[in-house]
Amino acid sequence: MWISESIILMLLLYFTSILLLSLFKPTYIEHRKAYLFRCLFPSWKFYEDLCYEPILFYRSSKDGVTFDDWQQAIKKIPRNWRNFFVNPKGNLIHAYNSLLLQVESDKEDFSGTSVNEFSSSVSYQLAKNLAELLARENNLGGQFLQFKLTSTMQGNSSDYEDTLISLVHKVQ
Amino acid sequence: MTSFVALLWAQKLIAIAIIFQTLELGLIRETYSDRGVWRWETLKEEFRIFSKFHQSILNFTLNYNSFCILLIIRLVLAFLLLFFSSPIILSLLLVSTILISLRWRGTFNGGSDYVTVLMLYSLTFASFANSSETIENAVLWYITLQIISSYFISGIVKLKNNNWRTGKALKGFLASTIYQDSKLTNYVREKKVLLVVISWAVMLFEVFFVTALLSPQVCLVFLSFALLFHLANYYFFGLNRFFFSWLSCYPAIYYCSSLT
Repeated sequence: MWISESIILMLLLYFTSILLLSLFKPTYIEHRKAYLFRCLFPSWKFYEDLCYEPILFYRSSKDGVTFDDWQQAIKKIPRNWRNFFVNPKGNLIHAYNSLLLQVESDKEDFSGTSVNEFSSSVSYQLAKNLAELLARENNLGGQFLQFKLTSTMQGNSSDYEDTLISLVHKVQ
Repeated sequence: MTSFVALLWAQKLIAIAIIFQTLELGLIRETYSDRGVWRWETLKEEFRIFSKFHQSILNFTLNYNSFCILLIIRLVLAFLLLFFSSPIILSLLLVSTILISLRWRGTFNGGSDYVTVLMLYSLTFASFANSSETIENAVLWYITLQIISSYFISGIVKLKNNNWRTGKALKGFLASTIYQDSKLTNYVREKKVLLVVISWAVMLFEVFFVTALLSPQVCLVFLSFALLFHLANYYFFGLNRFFFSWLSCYPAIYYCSSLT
């Protein structure tokens, strides 16, 4: 009996300490190596609060000067219970969204510098690859491509701001 | 249920989760091919912060062809884990999961990757312990505490947030999912009372999940709610990976509930 009481007491202490720790502002490790190995350091704060999420837009041009209208690059997909076990499209969109969040975060580290300088970063290049891939998939015509990230408040599409407008890229 | 049986179930369930995860990655191979988004030519620059030696290992293992082979090996290992328990299989699965996470600059799918890695290093540790009951118990308690913490912390941060308490957060999240609107999501989003009720149900479920440890009967009730919760997360947000990763931890929680 005393064993189960001790276990319950220890559990109580453990979860009380979590509760107390949650009152303090968390500190984040910003080292890039730790970031790359973050699968070893779980964060359990899922869907903590509404936030600004980046949305990718692109537009094409035949001559690199006159562009078509901006179009949202990542389209919402239909639900399907058949994808419950294996959901490649759904998880791919989650991965695209994580990539865009990372691009936005890395862009902040480049604040004060031009898009030209940021364009050499891995994040920018990956976003460019993404825009190109989606342009190919969606048969976006034109020889030139430009993309932008618009930060939009979840659930409030009228609250938005452009956070990155890319250089003009020749479609490969 | 003995500690041995609980670990065996956990192994089989994580093996199933890994099989589904690996099939998904195989189906999206175009995105990490040499013309894809995560082409290695672009991505390898990220790893310049490592030593030349480590870079050469990553260059060898994470280029497109090697990565496809890695996925095939992982799939075979996961199938083997369904029938055989071996520290070597578990260790290789752990290494492959970390390499896959690196290929996506840290994680491919956040929470489900955290739990997969957590389960694999815990089970690897237990399998090296040669059926020591003390180690098995320690591992099962470790998994249980981590998973209960995942619900508890997630619930606490929501409870502290006014947007969650008023249902506004849930409404916003439902509006920004990867899926097209359905009748059900539209209906939920338009009913303020329903949003508040669901939000509070989620928060209370997460915070009180710890009481699942009070007895096996209470545990079964909470695990049933947990399954419904993860099913709903799949329906609304497309988080199918979370269902299978978290499911693999439930034998540990059930076992620990029988000890208290």
